[in-house]
Amino acid sequence: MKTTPPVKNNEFDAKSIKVKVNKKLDSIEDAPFFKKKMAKGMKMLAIAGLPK
Amino acid sequence: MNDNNYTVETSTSFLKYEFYSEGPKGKIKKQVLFKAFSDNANVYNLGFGDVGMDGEINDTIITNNKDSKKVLTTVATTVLTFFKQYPTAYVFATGSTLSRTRLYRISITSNLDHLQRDFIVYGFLNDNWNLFQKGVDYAAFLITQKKP
Repeated sequence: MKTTPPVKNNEFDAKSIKVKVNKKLDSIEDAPFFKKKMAKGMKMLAIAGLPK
Repeated sequence: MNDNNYTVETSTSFLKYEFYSEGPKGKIKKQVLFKAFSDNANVYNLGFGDVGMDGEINDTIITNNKDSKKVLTTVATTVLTFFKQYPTAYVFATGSTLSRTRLYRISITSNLDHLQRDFIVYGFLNDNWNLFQKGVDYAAFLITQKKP
């Protein structure tokens, strides 16, 4: 398992956040609920596009 | 490891994350997923929820494990980690219910000053993306890193 460098951004500057890479997570499949969310997101993006 | 967020594991793509909430209800597995939209490949939908007995993520469960702030902070760390790998991407987020979308809004609001140092946050209102403002009831959120 390799470890990414600590994340340094905004409020987390002072904290050491370590995120470990775990190859087992590569096999997580899309959850059914995600389809509904993707549809909702696609609709909004189709209407508004991306911010200029 | 600090006390404000849980230890997180990620897939090699940095699109799937997992951690455990710990509280009165025990250890509960949580997943955070980022999935690109087919029509907007640089926009990723943020999915977050508990992993049920069937191994599937469910974003409608109310865990009530008395650690919601720590969980949300941990989700925020996954977003930061994601942006380190995908610096030009947009992250789209909306709750599965109105109350969960409101929870996202409260979380963004309470961290807005910090967020705006490095990120641009938009809220979806009246069929448009508007710069996020406190106190406005948005239907969804879009976050991207400021250009250097």
